[in-house]
Amino acid sequence: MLGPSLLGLIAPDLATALFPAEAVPFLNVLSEVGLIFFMFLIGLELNPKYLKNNLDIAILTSHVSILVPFSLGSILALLLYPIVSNNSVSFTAFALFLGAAMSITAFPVLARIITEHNLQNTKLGTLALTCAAVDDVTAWCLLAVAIAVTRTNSMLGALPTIIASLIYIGFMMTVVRWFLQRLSKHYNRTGRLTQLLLSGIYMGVVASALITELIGIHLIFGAFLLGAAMPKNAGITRELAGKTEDFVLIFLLPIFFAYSGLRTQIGLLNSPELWLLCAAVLGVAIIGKYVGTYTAARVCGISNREASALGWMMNTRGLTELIVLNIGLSLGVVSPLLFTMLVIMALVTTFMTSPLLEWTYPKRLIRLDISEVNSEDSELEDSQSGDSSEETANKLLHTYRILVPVANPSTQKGLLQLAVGLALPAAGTGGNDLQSAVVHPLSLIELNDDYAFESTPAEADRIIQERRSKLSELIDSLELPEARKFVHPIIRVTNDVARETAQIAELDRADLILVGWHRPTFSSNRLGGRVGQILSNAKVDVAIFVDRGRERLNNLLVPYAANIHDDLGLELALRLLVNSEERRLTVLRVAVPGFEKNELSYEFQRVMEQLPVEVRSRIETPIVEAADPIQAVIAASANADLTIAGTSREWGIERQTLGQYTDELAVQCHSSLLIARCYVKARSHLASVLTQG
Amino acid sequence: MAVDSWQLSLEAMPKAQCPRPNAQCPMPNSQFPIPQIMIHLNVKLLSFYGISLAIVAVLFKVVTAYGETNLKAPPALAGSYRFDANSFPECLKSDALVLTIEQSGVYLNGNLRSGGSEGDREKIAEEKPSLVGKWENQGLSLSGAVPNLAGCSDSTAIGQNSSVKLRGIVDGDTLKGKISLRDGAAATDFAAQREAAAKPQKPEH
Repeated sequence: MLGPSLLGLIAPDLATALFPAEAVPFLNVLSEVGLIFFMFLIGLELNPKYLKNNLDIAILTSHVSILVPFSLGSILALLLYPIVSNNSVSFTAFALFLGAAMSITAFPVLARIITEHNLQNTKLGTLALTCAAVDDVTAWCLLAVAIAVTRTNSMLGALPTIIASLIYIGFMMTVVRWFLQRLSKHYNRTGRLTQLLLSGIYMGVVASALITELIGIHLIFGAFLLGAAMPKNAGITRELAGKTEDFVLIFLLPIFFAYSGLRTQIGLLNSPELWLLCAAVLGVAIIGKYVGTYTAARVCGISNREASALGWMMNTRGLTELIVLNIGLSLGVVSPLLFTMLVIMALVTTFMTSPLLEWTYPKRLIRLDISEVNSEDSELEDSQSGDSSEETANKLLHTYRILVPVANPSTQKGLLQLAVGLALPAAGTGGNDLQSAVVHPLSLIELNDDYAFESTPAEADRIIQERRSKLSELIDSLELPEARKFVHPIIRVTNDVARETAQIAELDRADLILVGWHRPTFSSNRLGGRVGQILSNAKVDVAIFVDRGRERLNNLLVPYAANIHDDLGLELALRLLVNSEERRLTVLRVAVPGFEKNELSYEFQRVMEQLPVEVRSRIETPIVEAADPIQAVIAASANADLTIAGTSREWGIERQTLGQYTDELAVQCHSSLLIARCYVKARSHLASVLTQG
Repeated sequence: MAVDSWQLSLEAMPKAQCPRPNAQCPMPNSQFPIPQIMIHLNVKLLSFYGISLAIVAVLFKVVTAYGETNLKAPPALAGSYRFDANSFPECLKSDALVLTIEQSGVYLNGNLRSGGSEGDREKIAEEKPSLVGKWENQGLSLSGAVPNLAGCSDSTAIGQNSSVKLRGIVDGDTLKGKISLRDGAAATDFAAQREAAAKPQKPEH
């Protein structure tokens, strides 16, 4: 939005060449077309099911959250009107428009923020969605009135337009809706949206937009109304959104942003006095929305923290505000200077939502809410429960947790098998407590497109359920009856997989992230791409599994060079060893001629002493002499099912500048490979198995 | 209770169907738990709602009544003004000198250049304004560089443009006042007519 202003400041000639004056009218036409179809999509995704939760509270909260900023905006108009408006605009129209601009909450943007924060099934999330949906409908009505008043310059003059609009809304919600229900039935029979049907719907969108323009409100209302009147048949909505949104979101909407950016002249704010006015606009918008929402929510009995979070969420103005402002500027009721101030307000209030929401309602609490709602799915059921007894809390603290990011459930059975192998109760030491270890297969759904239909809460939920059933199939495929007791999947929506994985690991107090190797798209390095990002972000120990498809992992090889990463590798190997009597472990030390001998560390020797004799008898600690340690390990790996190596220079897996890892051993190793990267020096990987011994 | 339209039922669901107060109960044929409709017509909430609406309605009425009666916004000045510039000194002398004004209340921006065709004038409207000023004391003042005026940029050192100062009053569609080139130079009287076709703030819809 501020790009054209910035470009104009640093490279005015380039800005003129990119956006020549002759092209601006065409941009205007394209942005209007984009807006019409975008508004249709917004109406389409405004599902009545969002209005099913605490509607009384939502109506009160959202209406008060409109009334307070609207009132403050009207009062602010007393200050702004003589300064930033002119006498061709009546004060009533100016105050009405400014009040409406202050009252906006962008439902589409908020819905996506809710999805991104995985709030869609929490009490707070559903309430916020309902409030935003009510707010959206109310704000559009208020805007329609403001436009009608602006065009006629009086409240009385706007009455015929308002009455005509109400009649049209009634017509759309009865006759057109009835007709569209038939269309939905036709779709159910044929199962597809034909081009003829689609062209009919698009013609309907344009016709409805033109009718509302003729009535005297604006094009966008007609398009929005048709979208809202469309039957909420999941199939037709998804297909229609899928077919429409690509072109609208990729081509037309950016033109709307560019056009709005061209109209935003940040250079007009050229004195401290004007920046103060801008701060006043921003302050009124934020305080009005926050105080209105917070007060109403508190009156309705919402808790302090939730009311506060709701206050910040309702401050999201985003794209809806930009649409309103562009209409105001085109009508002349908003001057270029006020437009710039309000654009800044829209951007600030939108971008502040996520951090303030995180501050008021941290992810830790969101996860508690989710676990409360999903307790039947037993997701995180054993973590962080507030009322657990000291004994239970103590037990939970000692639960060994493995987080397993699963990108594609159908190809990562080996990874989950290894995780289960690491987590299983210590069979070798007689342990049988299934609660002492938990495996969390983590499936993160990445939503990249800001306004795409798939990032709406309802659609995201559908995708989550789909992913959940795939993970269930994967868990069932392990053919381990007790797996359900300690394998609890976590499914989340995110826009940054690596960072979210690291955050979940931290919040969940995971002891280990076990990640499968993926070949990065733009690099041949096995430890690059997303695996590299997880390695850089995670503040817990990480193990990367390069699966060579071995059915059994009985022969374990640990090349040992006495560093913290090798120690971690050794501990993981010991967990596997303890958990199955069939496994054997070879701790291989490579002596390079001319260098000091590679001794086993004191800690390792202590651990060995604590192991039962039966387990110790399955461990060998040979030393081989070789000039090239990596080649020695590669040769030894031919006789192993799984090689477990630390990220150390000796094994060619070394962290270099810019956080990149080399991957020599990963390329040449004959067996499956587990690469261990230690983050926490005081580890507890063996605590649960040794205490049982 | 499947609700498939905007028509919302005011009936509350039997609580027995939902095991916990805050839990979301799965609905038939839905792919994820959908919360049920709960509308409680609470007297306290209704009074709060009613009082809030009434206060805002009264407040808006009072504010607009005060604003309409007591507040005066500056006149609408935005547009293009054509000068009869033959009597102007130095580089301002032109057959068709056009001043384009963009207005944001009392804050004014503009461009001054010789513009003949309609296309030229459209171009002027899109260019970055080089004149800034304000509407105060019932008159407008604009000052700044004139980079687009043929001849003016050559009259001073390289890279510098002549500065113009302009003060005037608006009488209907006529802008009258004094214009001077460079600080300290003698001011010349001018009169310019607003061109109806180039009003940039005319509503587009």
